[in-house]
Order: sequence, then structure tokens, then C-alpha cells
Amino acid sequence: MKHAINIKNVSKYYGDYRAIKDISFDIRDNEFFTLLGPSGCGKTTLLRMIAGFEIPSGGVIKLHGTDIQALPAHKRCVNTVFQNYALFPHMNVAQNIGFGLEMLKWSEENIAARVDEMLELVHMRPFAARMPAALSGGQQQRIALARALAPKPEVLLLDEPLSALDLKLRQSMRDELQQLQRDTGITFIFVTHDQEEALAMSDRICVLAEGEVQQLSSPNEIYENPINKFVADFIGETNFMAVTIGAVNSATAAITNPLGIQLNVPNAGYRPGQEATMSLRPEKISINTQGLEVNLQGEIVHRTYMGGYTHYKVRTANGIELRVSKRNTISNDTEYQLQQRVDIGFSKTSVRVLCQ
Amino acid sequence: MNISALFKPNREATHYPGFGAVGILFFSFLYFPILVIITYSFNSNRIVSVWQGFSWKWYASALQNEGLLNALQVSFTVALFATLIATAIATAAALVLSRGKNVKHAKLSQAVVNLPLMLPEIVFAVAILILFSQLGIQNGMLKLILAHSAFCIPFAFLPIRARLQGMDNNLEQAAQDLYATPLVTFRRITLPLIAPGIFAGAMLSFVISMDDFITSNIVSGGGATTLPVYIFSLVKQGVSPELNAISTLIMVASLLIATPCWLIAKRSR
Ligand SMILES: Nc1ncnc2c1ncn2[C@@H]1O[C@H](COP(=O)(O)OP(=O)(O)OP(=O)(O)O)[C@@H](O)[C@H]1O
Ligand SMILES: [Mg+2]
Repeated sequence: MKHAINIKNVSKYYGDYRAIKDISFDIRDNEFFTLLGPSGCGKTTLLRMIAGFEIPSGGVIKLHGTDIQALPAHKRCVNTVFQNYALFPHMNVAQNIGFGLEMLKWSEENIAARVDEMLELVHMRPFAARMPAALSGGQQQRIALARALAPKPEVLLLDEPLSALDLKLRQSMRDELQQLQRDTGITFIFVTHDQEEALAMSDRICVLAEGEVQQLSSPNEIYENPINKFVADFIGETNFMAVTIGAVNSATAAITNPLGIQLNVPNAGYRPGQEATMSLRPEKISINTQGLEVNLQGEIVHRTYMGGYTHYKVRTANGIELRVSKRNTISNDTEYQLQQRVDIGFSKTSVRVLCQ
Repeated sequence: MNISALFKPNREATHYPGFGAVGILFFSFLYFPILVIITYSFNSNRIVSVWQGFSWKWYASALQNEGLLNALQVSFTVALFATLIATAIATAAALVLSRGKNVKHAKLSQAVVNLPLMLPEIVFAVAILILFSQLGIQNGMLKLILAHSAFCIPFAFLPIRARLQGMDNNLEQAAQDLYATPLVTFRRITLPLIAPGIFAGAMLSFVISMDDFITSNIVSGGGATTLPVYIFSLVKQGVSPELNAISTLIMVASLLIATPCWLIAKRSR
């Protein structure tokens, strides 16, 4: 597999503070790659090192196999969509989009044609002569995108480009960005702290925390098989329960759990007596449904109606509160009432046991 | 009840009794002397304080006064060169101090750049006089230009740095990201965006230089006399109606220069 970016043992110190801790991973060609993590985990720092605005304290970054350590920012075939867009306020939309091409010494006709193409791509043709200050946030965002895409970079870096937009616009821009990435075939490195955004758009997600890679996988894998408690907690909602590993044989391990159910999971190198955490997603639990492997009795103690679905908290017989979410598939579907006694059930394969 | 009324500042100065009277007194105090000068510049009497009749003759004699025209030319040349030098240095200093990475002693450097603002001018003037004599600089014009350039730097520096600090430095990174070399980035992005600051700094330098008396007077030996120094020498000989005419002319010239500058600065904001 060809790689757009190789990051090898990269670390970054700000003074004594270690913002990036010896990170290594590869980004494939033509993929929509997302860096996801909480605020301050080092996403922007990593992006700035790829763009050339920050020099790694150690390690190597390669762009299509070439070490770019010695290249200044203006010589890297990498373009950035800045978090605050950074449109040049004294140039109109067309001049902004054409700036990179002008710097690359494209001919005037070619610049005009490419700018036109870009305006078409982001549906902004009527705005070519506007100044950036006279554009809405969403429009500025499109222009920033067009400006960064115009020089056909090998890699496009996007630092939380949607965070300044309202919810509706953000959702439609998600689809547009994804479509744009497929149409252009350019590698996108997208930074966000919004897990929904990451799941919706990415080919692969790299979850970062405190300057370290926690997990790097497809969205589905990250959501369904989180590697540790941090990832399970950060992406989506879940029920955590402290558990202990019981009897272990070569294939399976018994899990002693506070729900008091018989549970065996594939043995992933567990030791008997080991402390661990069990994770069970709210949507994997059903209410009053027949034919599930595990069935428990409980009582509804909390209910939050969300429109498309309803969140419940159910207290089981042994006093554990489980979050359960139920899709409202039929209008005026049965709403369970507070204090109502219900049966809840789930499949054993929905349970994840996390050791860290 | 009108809630918004509660949030209005209830201590506006205009609401205090006697505000109008104090205001009139204040502006009279400020502008009455100027009014007197303008009026008496048209007095045909040789004795300044006794009104005789309307006349343009003092203007005619002022405009034919060779010493005055000479001094004006010196002042203008010095101010022009000092402005160019001071603005260039101040721009460079402001760029380094607000954009440079890992600048050592940035705080200290900034204080040093601004020091002439704090220093009594006479101290500065004496110091520079000693320096010139040590260096053996004789040319009066050169001395004036060097001295004026030095004390104009902080005046040019302040508005330029303010403009730079108000500017998003992501813009410069965005330009470099789009393949602009640092030099092109400066020319295409930084310079146009801080131009109003540079313009303000240059105007300020020019005015400060034109207006300077203490330093010019102390270093002026060597055949170059600036306008304020020349006017002072006239005053020493006694106030003449010609002096009133000169003062009025300077005032008119200042207004003619300042108004378009003010308009430009206002528009670019
Ligand atoms: N120039 C700097 N000097 C010192 N520390 C810095 C600098 N830039 C970033 N840091 C620190 O490095 C860490 C990572 O910062 P970074 O900006 O990469 O976070 P981030 O993941 O992008 O966060 P956010 O989601 O809030 O943008 C933070 O703890 C931050 O305080
Ligand atoms: Mg960031």
C-alpha cells in the first residue's frame, strides 16, 4: 500500500512540555483520515508539523516517501484549511482562491479557469467578486476550502473546519466534504474533537489522547471494538462496569460482573483475578424484546425524549443503572413510563471487556 | 418598567450642572490665543498689540523673508528623511518583536525602542550632541536628520506594532502554506494589511520632527536652522506682526496636510 504520509517516532516539546509523545503511524494515499481527540491532545500540533509551521523535536515525517524535515512550509505540496479560515481580508474571493496558483506561477488564463472550476465545485460562483468580510461563516469556509484545493495539493489538512458552523450547515458540509474528497482523490487529514463528525466522514480514525495514539482503525472498528476505556468512553456513549476475570482457559475467560450474569468472552490473554472494565453500548440493550441471550428485570428511573430516539435509565434488580437507548421506529410508539417494570436484554457478543 | 433604562450609564458628564459653561471656558482657554494671533496677523500697525487697520503686508514680508524660507526648507527636508528612516527602522523592529520566534530579550528590546518617549528630551539632546562631537560629525543637516530619525522611531513604532498585533498571524502562515516565500508574504499580505499603521506612524514622525525645538536647537550648529529654531530667534528679537503671519501660515499648512491624512486614516479603518 502506498502511503501519503509516514510519521515515525515523532515527538514535540514546547519547552519542557511534551505535546506529542513518540508517535508513529502511516496515512494512506487518497484516504479520508481523521485525527480525533479531546482538546489539547496535540491534534493541531501534529497538523502544523505536517504543514511545516512547527518543527518536530524528534522523529521523521515523510510525504510520499520523501523526508520533508528540511522543506519550509512554502515548499511543501500540502495545503491547509485553517480553523478560522484565514482568508486574506484585502483580496476578493477570486483573488483568494487564485493566490496559491499565482505563487506557483501559473499562467493567467490557467488561473482564471482553475478559480472558476473551484468556485463551481464549492457552489460559490456568484460570489467571485465579494470581499471575505461580506461572506457568512459557511461561505468563508467554502472559500477557504476552494483556496486550499486549487493548487491540487498532495495532502489537504483541515483543522476543525466545521467547528464554527451551526448544526444544520455542519451536517450538510460533512456530506460535501466527503464527496469532495472522493471527487478529487486528494488525501484529507481532518482534525476534529467531534466524534460524530469523525465517524460520519472518515475512512480511518486515529484517536489521540495526551499526545499519544490510542487507536487507529476504521470508524466501525473504533466504535464496536474500542481498544481501551478511553476510546470506548470518548466515542459514543456506553455503560461501564468494573469486572474481574474469573476462570480462564485457552479459548475463553469467564467474567465476574455486577449484573450477575454468566459471561464468557474470547480469551485475549487475561489472567485470573485481573481487574477490568466491561463496556455495553446503550443501543445494544433492548427493552421488552423476546429471544435475547441475556435477560434482566429492571425499572425505568429516568427518561429523556430525543425525537428520533429515547434515552432511558433502567435500574436492574441488583441496583445497577444501565443507560438504554431505543429508536422510536413507529410514531406514538410505546413510551415506557417512569417506575414502569421492564425486561431488558442483550446479546453476549455486545459486551466488550477492556483491560486499560 | 423599562428595564433597559436601568442599564444606561446614569452619570453622563453632560448631565452635571455647569457642564456647558465649563466647556466654553475650556475651549476659549485653548483657542483664544490662537484667535488673537490670527486676528493681529492682519494688523497694519508695526506695534503688535495696537489695532490700526486691515492689511496683508506682513504676509507679503514673511513670504519674502529668506531666513524663514531657508528654515522651512531645512525643516521639511529633515522631517522627510527622518520620517523615512524612522519608519523603516520602526517597521523592522515591530515585525521582529511581534512576529519573530524565539526573540531573545523581546521585552527589553521593546522597552529600549520606546525609551526616548520616557526620557526628558534635553537629556537625549545633550547625549546626542556629545555623540556627534565624539564622532566628529560636522554637517548640520546630517546631524539634524540623524537626531530626528532617532527620536521619531518610537512614534512610528507604536501605531505599526498596534496594527501588527491586531492582525491575525494565521494570514501569513496561510500565505506560506500557499507557496509564498517569506519575502512575497511580506509584500503581498503583511505590508498591505499594516499599511494604515505605517502611514499613521510616518505622519506622526513627520509632525514630531517638524515641531521639534529642543534637540534641533542644541544640535543645530553647522549652518542648518529648522523652522521652530528660527521662529524662536525671531521671538527673542521681540514679537513682530510678521511672526503672527508666519504662525498663521503654519497653522493653515498643518490643517491642509492633516485633513486628508485624517480622512484617509478614517476610511482605512
Ligand atoms: N506554542 C505553544 N507553546 C506552548 N505550548 C503549546 C503551544 N502550542 C500548543 N501547546 C500545548 O500543546 C498541547 C497540544 O496543543 P494543540 O494545539 O495541538 O491541541 P489540540 O489537540 O489542537 O486542541 P484543540 O482541540 O483545543 O484545538 C496543549 O496542551 C497546548 O497547551
Ligand atoms: Mg487545535
